[in-house]
Amino acid sequence: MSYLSLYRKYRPQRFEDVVGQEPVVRTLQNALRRGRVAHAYMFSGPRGTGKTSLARLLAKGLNCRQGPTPEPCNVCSNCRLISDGYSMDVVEIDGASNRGIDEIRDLRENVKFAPTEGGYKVYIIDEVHMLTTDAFNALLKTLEEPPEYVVFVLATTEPHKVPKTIASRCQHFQFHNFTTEQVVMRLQQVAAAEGLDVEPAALSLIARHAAGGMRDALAILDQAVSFQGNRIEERHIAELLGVVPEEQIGKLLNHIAGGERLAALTLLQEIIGGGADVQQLTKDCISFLRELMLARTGKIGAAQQQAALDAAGGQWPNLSSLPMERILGLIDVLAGALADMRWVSPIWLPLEMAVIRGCGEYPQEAARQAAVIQETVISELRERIQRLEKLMASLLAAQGVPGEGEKADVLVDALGDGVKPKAAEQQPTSSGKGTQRTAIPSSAADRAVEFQDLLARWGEIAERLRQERQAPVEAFLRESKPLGFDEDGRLVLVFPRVKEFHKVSLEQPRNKEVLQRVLSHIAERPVEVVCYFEDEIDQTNGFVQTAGNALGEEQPSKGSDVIAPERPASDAGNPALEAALRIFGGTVQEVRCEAERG
Amino acid sequence: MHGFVSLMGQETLVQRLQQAIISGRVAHAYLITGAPGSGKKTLAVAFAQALFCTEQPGTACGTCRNCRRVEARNHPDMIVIEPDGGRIKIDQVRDLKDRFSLQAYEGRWKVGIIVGAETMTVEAANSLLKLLEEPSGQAVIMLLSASPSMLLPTIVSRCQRIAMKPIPRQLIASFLEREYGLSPETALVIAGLADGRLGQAKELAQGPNLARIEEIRSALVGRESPGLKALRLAAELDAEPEALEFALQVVVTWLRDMLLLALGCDRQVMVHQDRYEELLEQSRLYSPSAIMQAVWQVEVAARALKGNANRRLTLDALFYQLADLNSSSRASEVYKYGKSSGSQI
Repeated sequence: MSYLSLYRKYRPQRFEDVVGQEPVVRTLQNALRRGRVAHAYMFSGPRGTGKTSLARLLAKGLNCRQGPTPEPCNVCSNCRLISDGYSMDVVEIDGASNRGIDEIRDLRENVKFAPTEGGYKVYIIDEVHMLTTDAFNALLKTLEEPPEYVVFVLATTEPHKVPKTIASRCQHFQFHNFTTEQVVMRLQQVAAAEGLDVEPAALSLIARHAAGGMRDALAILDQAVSFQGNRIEERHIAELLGVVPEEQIGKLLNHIAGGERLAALTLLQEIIGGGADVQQLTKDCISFLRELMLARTGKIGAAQQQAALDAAGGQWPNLSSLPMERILGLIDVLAGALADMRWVSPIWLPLEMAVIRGCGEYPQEAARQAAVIQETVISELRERIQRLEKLMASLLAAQGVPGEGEKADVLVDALGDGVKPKAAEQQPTSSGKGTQRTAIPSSAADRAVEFQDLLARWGEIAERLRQERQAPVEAFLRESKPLGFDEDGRLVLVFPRVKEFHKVSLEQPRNKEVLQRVLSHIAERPVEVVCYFEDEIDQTNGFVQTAGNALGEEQPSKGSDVIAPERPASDAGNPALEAALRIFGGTVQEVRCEAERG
Repeated sequence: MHGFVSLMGQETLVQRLQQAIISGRVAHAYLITGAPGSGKKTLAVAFAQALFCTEQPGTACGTCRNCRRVEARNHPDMIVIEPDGGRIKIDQVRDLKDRFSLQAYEGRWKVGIIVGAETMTVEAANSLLKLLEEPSGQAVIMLLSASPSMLLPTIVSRCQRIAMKPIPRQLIASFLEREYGLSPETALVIAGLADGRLGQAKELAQGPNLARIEEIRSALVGRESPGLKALRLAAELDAEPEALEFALQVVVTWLRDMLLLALGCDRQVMVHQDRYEELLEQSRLYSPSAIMQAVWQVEVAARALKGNANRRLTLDALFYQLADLNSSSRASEVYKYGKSSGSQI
């Protein structure tokens, strides 16, 4: 007999050997005890959680000479035959290899024959999720009403791939991943039985690495024994698994948390140079941070939490003071690196980049970037101001010479509290011509800004009007569209022709006064209101349209003063051309616009 | 060169496997992992030799009949499965199972080697499970995989895992000097690019590949008209897809060296140590974040290329962006400008 792997050698042979999975074990044992064994079971769960083992135990319990019994004897011929896999009555089928309808038809034929040795015929179909649809359907009738001496056990890691019609004919048991403690317990049993001397720390490292799979854990132990002999320490396991000691990981993360870029990179190089599994290292870093995070939120046991925090506080000061957002950010960056490793070679590159990124901003770099941004913003603003100034000059020129007297007039207006009655009575058309009133309270740009502010608070106006029980005014106002301030600082409202009633009503002194009072309050300066019909706007020379369609539906700009974005007319200064020259080099022969030809 | 002897730098692994054979604790399933060119197949074959060898069981003499037959891949009790048309199919696995259900011809071990195990179809992988868990008799199945994360967890959990160790750079470099007659500087660069994999190093040390690496590096340093050079490089690489992977690796490690230099790292950790001065000079020209951006661009391109993107387009775009390293934002401005002016006219 050749050497048997530990996970085969220590497959549970009695129900009490089974670690964990208590609900399943208890239910099966009770079923055996009471003689209420169902004719079909489905066992599902992750790898290495005991599905096949329990299926065989069930078979043994049924066919044991003393059976059906919840405690098979393991000494009678039937038990031994089943343990060795030679029993005629326990048919173990590899569902993944025998997955076609023909194999299931064979099975249906064989089901008819009564058991030879024991009282039951047990069919264990492992990896049942790989059966074809036809095979599943061929199985349905047999599975529902098999002969009374037949028990089916379907085992699978992927129950969602099993058709509903199959699942509903079975008693379904779900197996769960083992906890680390359960794995350690079983490993201790096995180690004791094998006469091994294994450090507890080594066992818990194995258990953590196995991630809930008992077979994984036993395979690692097996490997350690075959490489290392009977005395196994934690470092042997760490070396075997390519795991970087927690201390190193803590140190690395501590450097990252402290923004000590150079130290972090050097340490990382050292670790990788030592032959660490880079993917494993990344995962370990992530789970280290995760534990730190959990300790911080208090979502793990108090003792454990305190231990984690103490460790972090003592050895790695940077980690203990790491704010939550940065922990999350680091996990994010590392997880991204882990994903990138599938594509990028060399494989350590994403991790290195993640470390650099994780260390945070580059101070000099940030300053340089800030300077660049500032410069761009300033030059942009300068450009805009120039454009506005140019525009203003052209407007003023169109209206004749600016009058100094008017300016004084407006100044007086501004000083006077409340609304100037004279302005309220002015006819829109007369002011629209604006041949004399050319003075401006502030620059065009300021007016635009002020208007934007006002628009932003437009809701307040309606609110206030309602509060003052001036709902009608609000209703009239609602039909209008604010267009901007003209150069007299008056708010221009436009109405569609069909809303003449609203316009006229709003222009009534009483209503207008109310509105102006409210507006003045909000704009924090006396504001007058002028009303126009939409089609009059063209004639209102001297009005700078600022944001005609900021409110309400869009309105094609009718004003003549649309600012055309500047385009470089000549070749010089064309950024596209400059960039092309920079990339490709050479000299410019001819500049031609693609569309001109068409 | 034969058996375990040819596995330079993997002494620990070899020792462990020999230990397993001598102490009679050979597992029935091994999963050997490591990047392409890291020596997985060499290890598997050496292990098979050690099992079959009649002269020095456990270490393999390399001269006995069995050792030679294994070396030549015609030992009757050794079955090697390789991807057929990119995948390993269920029928291949069924063949393996049939052979393993029989006694060994020569009454000793039965050895199965599955190369590229991650290419098994879902059906093939599942149908291997039972055999992998409980083969009959003295059987060893070795799965070789460069990307074990693509294997089913149920497969992985049945195997003892053996990860090929990266070989120290110095060791590879001196090997290249000795066997391929490379200059010490070049050998060190190639060793750095090989990333601890001897097979990869041997591949890169071939004449044409060496020339290609040199060409890419001078293109990265060159100043005049980087755009045209970029286009030419892209065209050449497009015609030579097998050179693509290491070409991108040259580019990305170059950028990485620049970045690390800019951050003040040692010359010792650089891949392209022989060009230290040029690297240093270049690293002063660009901001670290611009270099990081460039690294990211290479990563994006590498991913796109593995995802079946149009090779030429991807390469063109990548080399453009790299040619314009520090002003990638300006490049996007140009793009915007060109678009809006087009729509205006």
